[in-house]
Amino acid sequence: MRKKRLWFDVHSWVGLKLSILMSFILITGTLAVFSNELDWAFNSEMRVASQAKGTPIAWGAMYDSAVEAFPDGRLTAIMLGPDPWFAAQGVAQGPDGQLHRLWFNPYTGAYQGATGWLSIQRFLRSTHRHLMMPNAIGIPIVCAFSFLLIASMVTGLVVYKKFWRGFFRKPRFDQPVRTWTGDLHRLGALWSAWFLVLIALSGIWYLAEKSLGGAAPRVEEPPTTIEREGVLPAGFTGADLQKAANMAMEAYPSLDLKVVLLPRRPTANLTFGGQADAILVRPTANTVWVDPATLNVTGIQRGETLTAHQRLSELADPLHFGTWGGIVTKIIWFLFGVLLSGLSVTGIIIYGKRIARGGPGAASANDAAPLTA
Amino acid sequence: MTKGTFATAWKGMGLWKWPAITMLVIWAGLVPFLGPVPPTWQNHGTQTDDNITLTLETRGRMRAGHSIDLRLTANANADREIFVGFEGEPNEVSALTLNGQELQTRVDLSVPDNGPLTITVRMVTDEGRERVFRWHLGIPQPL
Repeated sequence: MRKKRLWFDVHSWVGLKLSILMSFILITGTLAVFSNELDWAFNSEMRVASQAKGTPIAWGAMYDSAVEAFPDGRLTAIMLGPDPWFAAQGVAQGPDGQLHRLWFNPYTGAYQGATGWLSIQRFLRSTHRHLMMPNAIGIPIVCAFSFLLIASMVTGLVVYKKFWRGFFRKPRFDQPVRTWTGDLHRLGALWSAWFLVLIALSGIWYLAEKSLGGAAPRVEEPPTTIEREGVLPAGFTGADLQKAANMAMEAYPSLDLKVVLLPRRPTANLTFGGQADAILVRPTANTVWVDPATLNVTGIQRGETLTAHQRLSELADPLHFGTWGGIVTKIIWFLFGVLLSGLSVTGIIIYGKRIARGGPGAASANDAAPLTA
Repeated sequence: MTKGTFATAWKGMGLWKWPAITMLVIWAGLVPFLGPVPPTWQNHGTQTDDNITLTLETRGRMRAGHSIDLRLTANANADREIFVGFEGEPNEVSALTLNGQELQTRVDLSVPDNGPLTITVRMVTDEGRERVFRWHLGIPQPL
Protein backbone atom coordinates (compact mmCIF):
# COMPACT_ATOMS: atom_id res chain seq x y z
CA MET A 1 0.00 0.00 0.00
CA ARG A 2 2.83 2.37 0.93
CA LYS A 3 4.58 1.52 -2.33
CA LYS A 4 1.42 2.27 -4.27
CA ARG A 5 1.10 5.62 -2.54
CA LEU A 6 4.66 6.44 -3.59
CA TRP A 7 3.76 5.68 -7.21
CA PHE A 8 0.68 7.83 -6.86
CA ASP A 9 2.67 10.68 -5.30
CA VAL A 10 5.03 10.65 -8.28
CA HIS A 11 2.04 10.63 -10.65
CA SER A 12 0.43 13.49 -8.78
CA TRP A 13 3.68 15.48 -8.56
CA VAL A 14 4.31 15.28 -12.29
CA GLY A 15 0.69 15.94 -13.14
CA LEU A 16 0.13 18.83 -10.77
CA LYS A 17 3.36 20.63 -9.99
CA LEU A 18 4.38 20.78 -13.63
CA SER A 19 0.88 20.95 -15.06
CA ILE A 20 1.03 24.54 -16.31
CA LEU A 21 3.92 23.99 -18.67
CA MET A 22 2.84 20.44 -19.48
CA SER A 23 -0.64 21.62 -20.50
CA PHE A 24 0.83 24.48 -22.51
CA ILE A 25 3.17 22.17 -24.43
CA LEU A 26 0.42 19.61 -25.06
CA ILE A 27 -2.13 22.20 -26.22
CA THR A 28 0.27 24.04 -28.54
CA GLY A 29 1.45 20.70 -29.94
CA THR A 30 -2.14 19.70 -30.60
CA LEU A 31 -2.88 22.97 -32.40
CA ALA A 32 0.36 22.63 -34.35
CA VAL A 33 -0.99 19.48 -36.03
CA PHE A 34 -3.28 21.70 -38.08
CA SER A 35 -1.07 24.77 -38.22
CA ASN A 36 -0.69 24.61 -42.01
CA GLU A 37 -4.45 24.28 -42.35
CA LEU A 38 -4.95 27.31 -40.09
CA ASP A 39 -2.67 29.34 -42.36
CA TRP A 40 -4.60 27.99 -45.34
CA ALA A 41 -7.88 29.13 -43.79
CA PHE A 42 -6.61 32.66 -43.11
CA ASN A 43 -4.63 33.22 -46.32
CA SER A 44 -6.49 32.80 -49.56
CA GLU A 45 -3.19 33.03 -51.46
CA MET A 46 -2.58 29.50 -50.19
CA ARG A 47 -5.70 27.99 -51.73
CA VAL A 48 -6.14 26.33 -55.10
CA ALA A 49 -8.80 24.10 -56.65
CA SER A 50 -7.80 20.45 -56.23
CA GLN A 51 -6.77 18.54 -59.30
CA ALA A 52 -6.74 14.81 -59.94
CA LYS A 53 -3.74 12.90 -58.63
CA GLY A 54 -1.05 12.74 -61.26
CA THR A 55 -1.81 16.18 -62.74
CA PRO A 56 1.57 17.48 -63.93
CA ILE A 57 3.20 20.05 -61.70
CA ALA A 58 4.36 23.22 -63.45
CA TRP A 59 7.77 23.55 -61.75
CA GLY A 60 9.20 25.64 -64.54
CA ALA A 61 6.23 28.00 -64.77
CA MET A 62 6.35 28.54 -60.99
CA TYR A 63 10.02 29.47 -61.26
CA ASP A 64 9.31 31.96 -64.06
CA SER A 65 6.41 33.45 -62.09
CA ALA A 66 8.65 33.86 -59.04
CA VAL A 67 11.35 35.63 -61.03
CA GLU A 68 8.76 37.94 -62.57
CA ALA A 69 6.99 38.71 -59.30
CA PHE A 70 10.07 39.01 -57.16
CA PRO A 71 12.86 40.17 -59.48
CA ASP A 72 15.26 41.20 -56.72
CA GLY A 73 14.62 38.19 -54.53
CA ARG A 74 16.54 34.95 -54.53
CA LEU A 75 14.31 31.90 -54.80
CA THR A 76 15.69 29.10 -52.63
CA ALA A 77 12.96 26.46 -52.76
CA ILE A 78 9.63 25.48 -54.26
CA MET A 79 7.53 23.03 -52.25
CA LEU A 80 4.16 21.44 -52.85
CA GLY A 81 1.62 21.76 -50.07
CA PRO A 82 0.58 18.87 -47.84
CA ASP A 83 -2.68 18.36 -49.74
CA PRO A 84 -3.86 19.01 -53.32
CA TRP A 85 -5.94 22.02 -52.24
CA PHE A 86 -2.81 23.86 -51.05
CA ALA A 87 -0.90 26.28 -53.27
CA ALA A 88 2.75 25.50 -53.84
CA GLN A 89 5.13 27.56 -51.75
CA GLY A 90 8.23 29.31 -52.95
CA VAL A 91 10.70 30.56 -50.38
CA ALA A 92 12.54 33.69 -51.44
CA GLN A 93 15.01 35.95 -49.74
CA GLY A 94 14.46 39.62 -50.46
CA PRO A 95 17.20 42.20 -50.97
CA ASP A 96 16.62 43.23 -47.35
CA GLY A 97 17.60 39.71 -46.26
CA GLN A 98 14.07 38.85 -45.11
CA LEU A 99 12.45 35.59 -46.11
CA HIS A 100 9.12 35.67 -47.94
CA ARG A 101 6.68 32.98 -48.91
CA LEU A 102 5.44 33.16 -52.48
CA TRP A 103 2.35 31.17 -53.41
CA PHE A 104 1.69 29.57 -56.80
CA ASN A 105 -0.93 27.46 -58.43
CA PRO A 106 1.14 24.27 -58.81
CA TYR A 107 -0.82 23.16 -61.87
CA THR A 108 -0.53 26.37 -63.91
CA GLY A 109 2.43 28.08 -62.26
CA ALA A 110 0.39 31.29 -61.75
CA TYR A 111 1.63 33.54 -58.95
CA GLN A 112 -1.07 34.04 -56.30
CA GLY A 113 0.63 36.42 -53.90
CA ALA A 114 3.15 36.64 -51.09
CA THR A 115 3.02 36.38 -47.33
CA GLY A 116 5.70 37.07 -44.74
CA TRP A 117 7.93 34.36 -43.38
CA LEU A 118 6.21 34.37 -40.03
CA SER A 119 2.94 32.49 -40.05
CA ILE A 120 0.63 30.61 -37.72
CA GLN A 121 2.63 27.49 -38.52
CA ARG A 122 5.93 29.17 -37.55
CA PHE A 123 4.36 30.66 -34.46
CA LEU A 124 3.00 27.35 -33.20
CA ARG A 125 6.16 25.50 -34.16
CA SER A 126 8.41 27.98 -32.35
CA THR A 127 6.11 27.97 -29.35
CA HIS A 128 5.74 24.20 -29.07
CA ARG A 129 9.31 23.32 -30.02
CA HIS A 130 11.29 25.74 -27.87
CA LEU A 131 8.83 28.16 -26.24
CA MET A 132 10.25 30.84 -28.54
CA MET A 133 13.44 30.78 -26.51
CA PRO A 134 16.87 30.16 -28.04
CA ASN A 135 16.98 26.54 -29.25
CA ALA A 136 19.78 25.62 -26.86
CA ILE A 137 17.54 26.49 -23.91
CA GLY A 138 14.01 25.88 -25.16
CA ILE A 139 14.45 22.49 -26.83
CA PRO A 140 15.90 20.71 -23.76
CA ILE A 141 13.16 22.18 -21.55
CA VAL A 142 10.35 21.01 -23.83
CA CYS A 143 11.95 17.64 -24.57
CA ALA A 144 12.49 16.97 -20.86
CA PHE A 145 8.72 16.77 -20.56
CA SER A 146 8.89 13.57 -22.64
CA PHE A 147 10.45 11.81 -19.64
CA LEU A 148 7.75 13.23 -17.40
CA LEU A 149 5.05 11.98 -19.77
CA ILE A 150 6.50 8.48 -19.61
CA ALA A 151 6.79 8.68 -15.81
CA SER A 152 3.23 9.88 -15.61
CA MET A 153 1.95 7.00 -17.72
CA VAL A 154 3.91 4.28 -15.91
CA THR A 155 2.94 5.50 -12.44
CA GLY A 156 -0.66 5.94 -13.55
CA LEU A 157 -0.86 2.36 -14.82
CA VAL A 158 0.74 1.00 -11.64
CA VAL A 159 -1.77 2.69 -9.36
CA TYR A 160 -4.74 1.85 -11.60
CA LYS A 161 -5.51 -1.67 -10.46
CA LYS A 162 -6.33 -4.06 -13.30
CA PHE A 163 -6.23 -1.22 -15.75
CA TRP A 164 -6.82 -3.53 -18.72
CA ARG A 165 -10.42 -3.86 -17.58
CA GLY A 166 -10.95 -0.13 -17.86
CA PHE A 167 -10.96 0.32 -21.63
CA PHE A 168 -14.74 0.09 -21.89
CA ARG A 169 -15.73 1.42 -18.48
CA LYS A 170 -18.25 4.23 -18.95
CA PRO A 171 -17.63 7.46 -17.00
CA ARG A 172 -20.27 7.92 -14.30
CA PHE A 173 -21.71 11.23 -15.38
CA ASP A 174 -24.57 10.91 -12.87
CA GLN A 175 -22.01 11.14 -10.05
CA PRO A 176 -20.33 14.30 -8.69
CA VAL A 177 -17.75 16.12 -10.81
CA ARG A 178 -14.88 14.60 -8.88
CA THR A 179 -16.02 11.08 -9.77
CA TRP A 180 -16.72 11.53 -13.47
CA THR A 181 -13.61 13.59 -14.13
CA GLY A 182 -11.64 10.76 -12.51
CA ASP A 183 -13.41 8.22 -14.72
CA LEU A 184 -12.77 10.33 -17.81
CA HIS A 185 -9.14 10.82 -16.82
CA ARG A 186 -8.54 7.09 -16.52
CA LEU A 187 -10.46 6.21 -19.69
CA GLY A 188 -8.66 8.87 -21.73
CA ALA A 189 -5.31 7.80 -20.30
CA LEU A 190 -5.82 4.17 -21.30
CA TRP A 191 -6.87 4.94 -24.87
CA SER A 192 -4.15 7.52 -25.42
CA ALA A 193 -1.30 5.50 -23.87
CA TRP A 194 0.06 4.38 -27.28
CA PHE A 195 0.02 7.98 -28.47
CA LEU A 196 1.74 9.21 -25.34
CA VAL A 197 4.54 6.66 -25.81
CA LEU A 198 4.97 7.68 -29.44
CA ILE A 199 5.06 11.40 -28.70
CA ALA A 200 7.36 10.96 -25.70
CA LEU A 201 9.83 8.71 -27.53
CA SER A 202 10.03 11.04 -30.50
CA GLY A 203 10.47 13.92 -28.04
CA ILE A 204 13.37 12.08 -26.41
CA TRP A 205 14.85 11.54 -29.87
CA TYR A 206 14.64 15.29 -30.56
CA LEU A 207 16.52 15.92 -27.33
CA ALA A 208 19.24 13.48 -28.40
CA GLU A 209 19.34 14.88 -31.91
CA LYS A 210 19.23 18.61 -31.25
CA SER A 211 20.85 18.97 -27.84
CA LEU A 212 23.01 15.92 -27.19
CA GLY A 213 24.87 15.64 -30.49
CA GLY A 214 22.98 12.58 -31.71
CA ALA A 215 22.06 13.96 -35.14
CA ALA A 216 22.37 11.51 -38.01
CA PRO A 217 25.14 12.24 -40.55
CA ARG A 218 23.92 14.14 -43.59
CA VAL A 219 24.02 12.57 -47.03
CA GLU A 220 26.78 14.27 -49.02
CA GLU A 221 25.72 15.99 -52.20
CA PRO A 222 27.77 15.00 -55.29
CA PRO A 223 29.89 17.73 -56.88
CA THR A 224 28.72 19.56 -59.98
CA THR A 225 30.80 19.22 -63.14
CA ILE A 226 31.06 22.90 -64.10
CA GLU A 227 31.79 25.67 -61.65
CA ARG A 228 29.58 28.70 -62.16
CA GLU A 229 29.91 32.37 -61.35
CA GLY A 230 26.48 32.69 -59.80
CA VAL A 231 24.38 30.25 -57.82
CA LEU A 232 22.54 29.49 -61.08
CA PRO A 233 23.98 29.61 -64.59
CA ALA A 234 23.42 32.87 -66.49
CA GLY A 235 20.13 32.79 -68.38
CA PHE A 236 18.69 29.94 -66.32
CA THR A 237 14.91 29.87 -66.85
CA GLY A 238 11.83 27.93 -65.85
CA ALA A 239 12.19 25.81 -68.97
CA ASP A 240 15.59 24.66 -67.65
CA LEU A 241 14.12 23.87 -64.27
CA GLN A 242 11.29 21.90 -65.86
CA LYS A 243 13.82 19.96 -67.94
CA ALA A 244 15.84 19.22 -64.81
CA ALA A 245 12.67 18.07 -63.00
CA ASN A 246 11.82 15.77 -65.89
CA MET A 247 15.36 14.37 -65.82
CA ALA A 248 15.05 13.72 -62.09
CA MET A 249 11.73 11.90 -62.48
CA GLU A 250 13.13 9.86 -65.35
CA ALA A 251 16.16 8.88 -63.30
CA TYR A 252 14.01 7.90 -60.29
CA PRO A 253 10.65 6.77 -61.72
CA SER A 254 8.97 6.00 -58.38
CA LEU A 255 9.78 9.48 -57.04
CA ASP A 256 6.67 11.55 -56.38
CA LEU A 257 8.30 14.96 -56.55
CA LYS A 258 7.39 17.30 -53.68
CA VAL A 259 10.21 19.78 -53.30
CA VAL A 260 12.85 21.52 -55.38
CA LEU A 261 15.77 23.15 -53.59
CA LEU A 262 17.67 25.69 -55.64
CA PRO A 263 21.45 25.99 -55.21
CA ARG A 264 22.77 28.33 -52.54
CA ARG A 265 26.35 28.33 -53.82
CA PRO A 266 27.97 28.12 -57.27
CA THR A 267 29.08 24.50 -56.83
CA ALA A 268 25.73 23.16 -55.64
CA ASN A 269 23.14 21.13 -57.56
CA LEU A 270 19.44 21.48 -58.00
CA THR A 271 17.95 19.10 -55.43
CA PHE A 272 14.72 17.27 -56.21
CA GLY A 273 13.07 15.48 -53.30
CA GLY A 274 9.88 13.58 -52.71
CA GLN A 275 8.23 10.39 -51.56
CA ALA A 276 9.13 7.06 -53.12
CA ASP A 277 9.47 3.47 -51.91
CA ALA A 278 10.73 4.08 -48.35
CA ILE A 279 7.97 4.68 -45.82
CA LEU A 280 7.97 7.18 -42.95
CA VAL A 281 10.65 9.47 -44.32
CA ARG A 282 10.77 13.18 -45.10
CA PRO A 283 10.74 14.24 -48.78
CA THR A 284 14.45 15.03 -48.77
CA ALA A 285 15.29 11.40 -47.92
CA ASN A 286 14.62 10.52 -51.58
CA THR A 287 16.70 12.88 -53.63
CA VAL A 288 17.94 13.38 -57.17
CA TRP A 289 20.67 15.95 -57.75
CA VAL A 290 20.87 17.68 -61.11
CA ASP A 291 23.65 19.97 -62.29
CA PRO A 292 21.90 23.22 -63.28
CA ALA A 293 24.53 23.99 -65.94
CA THR A 294 24.44 20.70 -67.84
CA LEU A 295 21.02 19.45 -66.64
CA ASN A 296 22.62 16.03 -66.07
CA VAL A 297 21.77 13.90 -63.05
CA THR A 298 24.79 13.91 -60.73
CA GLY A 299 23.48 11.61 -58.01
CA ILE A 300 20.51 9.75 -56.54
CA GLN A 301 19.77 9.08 -52.88
CA ARG A 302 17.10 6.49 -52.09
CA GLY A 303 15.43 6.53 -48.69
CA GLU A 304 15.66 2.77 -48.28
CA THR A 305 19.47 2.85 -48.49
CA LEU A 306 19.89 5.23 -45.55
CA THR A 307 21.56 3.90 -42.40
CA ALA A 308 19.45 2.91 -39.38
CA HIS A 309 20.54 6.11 -37.65
CA GLN A 310 19.44 8.23 -40.61
CA ARG A 311 16.14 6.34 -40.88
CA LEU A 312 15.48 7.01 -37.20
CA SER A 313 16.08 10.68 -37.84
CA GLU A 314 13.69 10.60 -40.81
CA LEU A 315 11.07 8.69 -38.84
CA ALA A 316 10.71 11.19 -36.00
CA ASP A 317 8.95 14.04 -37.84
CA PRO A 318 6.26 12.04 -39.67
CA LEU A 319 5.44 10.19 -36.44
CA HIS A 320 5.55 13.17 -34.09
CA PHE A 321 3.62 15.49 -36.44
CA GLY A 322 1.16 12.84 -37.68
CA THR A 323 1.78 13.78 -41.29
CA TRP A 324 2.69 10.31 -42.57
CA GLY A 325 -0.86 9.38 -43.61
CA GLY A 326 -2.07 12.77 -44.84
CA ILE A 327 -5.18 14.44 -43.48
CA VAL A 328 -6.51 11.18 -41.93
CA THR A 329 -3.56 10.69 -39.58
CA LYS A 330 -3.52 14.40 -38.83
CA ILE A 331 -7.12 14.19 -37.63
CA ILE A 332 -6.22 11.16 -35.46
CA TRP A 333 -3.16 12.95 -34.05
CA PHE A 334 -5.21 16.04 -33.31
CA LEU A 335 -7.93 14.07 -31.49
CA PHE A 336 -5.40 12.20 -29.39
CA GLY A 337 -3.62 15.48 -28.75
CA VAL A 338 -6.89 16.84 -27.38
CA LEU A 339 -7.18 13.71 -25.24
CA LEU A 340 -3.66 14.11 -23.82
CA SER A 341 -4.23 17.80 -23.13
CA GLY A 342 -7.50 16.83 -21.45
CA LEU A 343 -5.64 14.43 -19.15
CA SER A 344 -3.51 17.28 -17.92
CA VAL A 345 -6.55 19.48 -17.26
CA THR A 346 -8.70 16.74 -15.66
CA GLY A 347 -5.72 15.82 -13.48
CA ILE A 348 -5.72 19.35 -12.08
CA ILE A 349 -9.49 19.22 -11.48
CA ILE A 350 -9.24 15.85 -9.74
CA TYR A 351 -6.55 17.16 -7.44
CA GLY A 352 -8.46 20.34 -6.66
CA LYS A 353 -11.69 18.46 -5.96
CA ARG A 354 -10.10 15.86 -3.73
CA ILE A 355 -8.18 18.33 -1.62
CA ALA A 356 -11.21 20.60 -1.41
CA ARG A 357 -13.23 17.67 -0.14
CA GLY A 358 -10.73 16.03 2.15
CA GLY A 359 -8.44 18.83 3.23
CA PRO A 360 -4.64 18.72 3.05
CA GLY A 361 -3.27 15.22 2.58
CA ALA A 362 -6.46 13.93 1.01
CA ALA A 363 -4.88 13.54 -2.38
CA SER A 364 -2.37 10.95 -1.22
CA ALA A 365 -4.50 9.33 1.39
CA ASN A 366 -7.69 8.90 -0.57
CA ASP A 367 -6.65 8.55 -4.14
CA ALA A 368 -5.72 4.91 -4.35
CA ALA A 369 -9.32 3.91 -3.68
CA PRO A 370 -11.05 5.70 -6.58
CA LEU A 371 -8.39 4.45 -8.95
CA THR A 372 -9.55 0.91 -8.37
CA ALA A 373 -13.20 1.77 -8.93
CA MET B 1 -16.17 23.38 -11.43
CA THR B 2 -15.80 25.77 -8.56
CA LYS B 3 -13.34 28.57 -8.25
CA GLY B 4 -12.04 26.75 -5.20
CA THR B 5 -11.02 23.73 -7.26
CA PHE B 6 -8.51 25.69 -9.29
CA ALA B 7 -7.45 27.79 -6.33
CA THR B 8 -6.66 24.58 -4.46
CA ALA B 9 -4.78 23.16 -7.44
CA TRP B 10 -2.91 26.46 -7.85
CA LYS B 11 -1.84 26.28 -4.22
CA GLY B 12 -0.93 22.63 -4.60
CA MET B 13 1.50 23.45 -7.40
CA GLY B 14 3.70 25.11 -4.80
CA LEU B 15 6.86 26.86 -5.91
CA TRP B 16 7.02 24.71 -9.03
CA LYS B 17 4.49 26.90 -10.77
CA TRP B 18 6.77 29.93 -10.78
CA PRO B 19 9.42 28.66 -13.22
CA ALA B 20 6.55 27.70 -15.55
CA ILE B 21 4.90 31.10 -15.18
CA THR B 22 8.27 32.79 -15.80
CA MET B 23 8.75 30.83 -19.01
CA LEU B 24 5.26 31.67 -20.20
CA VAL B 25 5.83 35.35 -19.43
CA ILE B 26 9.03 35.22 -21.51
CA TRP B 27 7.08 33.49 -24.26
CA ALA B 28 4.34 36.12 -24.13
CA GLY B 29 6.98 38.84 -24.29
CA LEU B 30 8.46 37.30 -27.42
CA VAL B 31 5.12 36.84 -29.20
CA PRO B 32 4.97 40.39 -30.63
CA PHE B 33 8.35 39.82 -32.27
CA LEU B 34 7.88 36.23 -33.38
CA GLY B 35 4.10 36.14 -33.68
CA PRO B 36 2.13 35.11 -36.74
CA VAL B 37 1.00 38.47 -38.08
CA PRO B 38 3.90 40.90 -38.08
CA PRO B 39 3.33 44.26 -39.75
CA THR B 40 6.20 43.71 -42.16
CA TRP B 41 6.60 45.21 -45.58
CA GLN B 42 6.83 42.88 -48.56
CA ASN B 43 9.56 44.00 -50.91
CA HIS B 44 8.49 43.39 -54.52
CA GLY B 45 11.78 44.42 -55.99
CA THR B 46 13.60 47.35 -57.49
CA GLN B 47 13.25 48.44 -61.09
CA THR B 48 15.65 50.66 -62.94
CA ASP B 49 15.04 52.54 -66.16
CA ASP B 50 17.92 54.64 -67.38
CA ASN B 51 19.00 56.36 -64.16
CA ILE B 52 15.70 56.19 -62.31
CA THR B 53 15.33 53.51 -59.65
CA LEU B 54 12.09 52.62 -57.91
CA THR B 55 11.44 50.02 -55.20
CA LEU B 56 7.92 48.86 -54.40
CA GLU B 57 6.82 47.42 -51.08
CA THR B 58 3.32 46.49 -49.93
CA ARG B 59 1.85 45.78 -46.54
CA GLY B 60 -1.26 43.80 -45.80
CA ARG B 61 -3.32 41.37 -47.82
CA MET B 62 -4.50 42.15 -51.30
CA ARG B 63 -8.21 41.68 -50.72
CA ALA B 64 -10.52 42.64 -53.55
CA GLY B 65 -12.36 45.84 -52.69
CA HIS B 66 -10.06 46.67 -49.76
CA SER B 67 -7.25 49.16 -49.80
CA ILE B 68 -3.63 48.17 -49.82
CA ASP B 69 -0.76 50.09 -48.30
CA LEU B 70 2.04 50.73 -50.81
CA ARG B 71 5.46 52.25 -50.24
CA LEU B 72 7.62 53.51 -53.06
CA THR B 73 11.26 54.38 -52.61
CA ALA B 74 13.08 56.17 -55.38
CA ASN B 75 16.50 57.57 -56.12
CA ALA B 76 17.05 61.30 -56.52
CA ASN B 77 16.41 61.25 -60.24
CA ALA B 78 12.81 60.20 -59.65
CA ASP B 79 11.90 63.29 -57.67
CA ARG B 80 8.92 64.22 -59.81
CA GLU B 81 5.21 63.69 -60.19
CA ILE B 82 4.25 60.05 -60.51
CA PHE B 83 1.01 58.17 -61.05
CA VAL B 84 0.36 54.90 -59.26
CA GLY B 85 -2.41 52.45 -59.95
CA PHE B 86 -3.43 48.98 -60.87
CA GLU B 87 -3.07 48.20 -64.54
CA GLY B 88 -6.45 48.23 -66.30
CA GLU B 89 -8.02 50.34 -63.53
CA PRO B 90 -7.79 53.94 -64.80
CA ASN B 91 -10.11 55.25 -62.11
CA GLU B 92 -7.81 54.13 -59.34
CA VAL B 93 -4.79 56.10 -60.52
CA SER B 94 -3.55 58.62 -57.99
CA ALA B 95 -1.02 61.34 -58.58
CA LEU B 96 1.63 62.42 -56.10
CA THR B 97 5.05 63.85 -55.85
CA LEU B 98 7.81 61.97 -54.15
CA ASN B 99 9.14 63.65 -51.09
CA GLY B 100 12.34 65.39 -52.11
CA GLN B 101 14.09 64.57 -48.83
CA GLU B 102 13.48 60.90 -48.27
CA LEU B 103 12.30 60.04 -51.77
CA GLN B 104 9.75 57.76 -50.25
CA THR B 105 5.99 57.89 -50.41
CA ARG B 106 3.06 55.83 -49.25
CA VAL B 107 -0.18 55.29 -51.14
CA ASP B 108 -3.46 53.59 -50.35
CA LEU B 109 -4.99 51.90 -53.37
CA SER B 110 -8.24 50.01 -53.66
CA VAL B 111 -7.63 46.46 -54.87
CA PRO B 112 -9.68 45.58 -57.97
CA ASP B 113 -11.67 42.34 -58.26
CA ASN B 114 -9.94 41.06 -61.35
CA GLY B 115 -6.44 39.72 -61.50
CA PRO B 116 -3.66 39.14 -61.96
CA LEU B 117 -2.76 42.38 -60.27
CA THR B 118 -0.08 44.58 -61.75
CA ILE B 119 0.97 47.82 -60.14
CA THR B 120 2.05 50.46 -62.60
CA VAL B 121 4.00 53.59 -61.78
CA ARG B 122 4.09 56.18 -64.51
CA MET B 123 6.20 59.26 -64.52
CA VAL B 124 6.87 61.96 -67.05
CA THR B 125 10.48 62.98 -67.28
CA ASP B 126 11.74 66.52 -67.74
CA GLU B 127 12.14 65.76 -71.41
CA GLY B 128 8.45 64.91 -71.60
CA ARG B 129 9.03 61.16 -71.98
CA GLU B 130 6.69 58.82 -70.12
CA ARG B 131 8.24 55.97 -68.24
CA VAL B 132 6.23 53.04 -66.89
CA PHE B 133 7.37 50.62 -64.20
CA ARG B 134 5.39 47.44 -63.54
CA TRP B 135 5.28 44.99 -60.63
CA HIS B 136 3.25 41.79 -60.72
CA LEU B 137 1.59 41.10 -57.39
CA GLY B 138 -0.40 37.91 -57.97
CA ILE B 139 -4.16 37.55 -57.85
CA PRO B 140 -6.57 39.51 -55.62
CA GLN B 141 -7.86 37.65 -52.60
CA PRO B 142 -11.61 37.11 -52.35
CA LEU B 143 -11.91 37.57 -48.58
